Amino acid sequence: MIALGWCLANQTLPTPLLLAGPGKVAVVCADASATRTARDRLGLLQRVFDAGIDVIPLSAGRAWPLPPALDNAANAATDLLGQITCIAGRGQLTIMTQWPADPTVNERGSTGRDWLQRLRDRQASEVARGQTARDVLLALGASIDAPKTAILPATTGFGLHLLLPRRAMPSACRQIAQAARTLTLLDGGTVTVTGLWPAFDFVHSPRCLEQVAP
Amino acid sequence: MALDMQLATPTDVLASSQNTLVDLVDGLLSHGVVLRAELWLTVADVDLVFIGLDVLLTSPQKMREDRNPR
Repeated sequence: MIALGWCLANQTLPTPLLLAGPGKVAVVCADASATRTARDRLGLLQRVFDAGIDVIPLSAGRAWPLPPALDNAANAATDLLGQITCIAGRGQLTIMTQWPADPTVNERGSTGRDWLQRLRDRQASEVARGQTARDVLLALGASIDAPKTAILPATTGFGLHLLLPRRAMPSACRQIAQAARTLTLLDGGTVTVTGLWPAFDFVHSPRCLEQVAP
Repeated sequence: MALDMQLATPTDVLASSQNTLVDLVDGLLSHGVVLRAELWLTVADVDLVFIGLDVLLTSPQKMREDRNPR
């Protein structure tokens, strides 16, 4: 079995997900055959979330074995219950800004000096566009009153995550679209809004302090 | 020129092969809780040794599959 996260016990999960553990906090898990890839695990966590269950997600990038997750459910139950209370009824909205690549990237200069100059100009342009993308994200994030992460770099742009009530998704999208219409700073830029996801960026590793006598 | 805005549900994102959305999924995969094991060796209330471990238990084949998702 592979552990996917934690939620309150005594809930009905969609198949093929199962709950494990005897306490108030249970481990959400699934058979290894259903969790072969990271995308499988992310998809299963999304199914739990879409079923209306408040789940503390483990990082889907790894296949977590069940025993340490069960240990945490038992030894860090208070912390996990506190986290479930914090994210109850809420999910993560993700906003990404991206901009098109510079079409002159592979152009050759007529001389070495010319090529170096172009390289320097291109780097300066990338830095400026990156800063603009960050500014756009800040402006979009500021249009919604919700807990949010810092701006995080991604491979092709920047991302910002907000913790929203499940029912607030449509209104948040409208607010972002309205704010995006007023921004023209990023020529050719794209804003991608997705969600709601489980609260990946608003949870932390369970904390427990166990005294072991020497 | 105004910003181009795209709305996508998690289902759309997970099924998509569009670069933007693949990048977004890749970002999410590394977020969430990471299980860590921590061990403090203490003698007479003096902390002597700290060991911190990320728990990763998987087969090489599964790791290869995760790096090359379908």
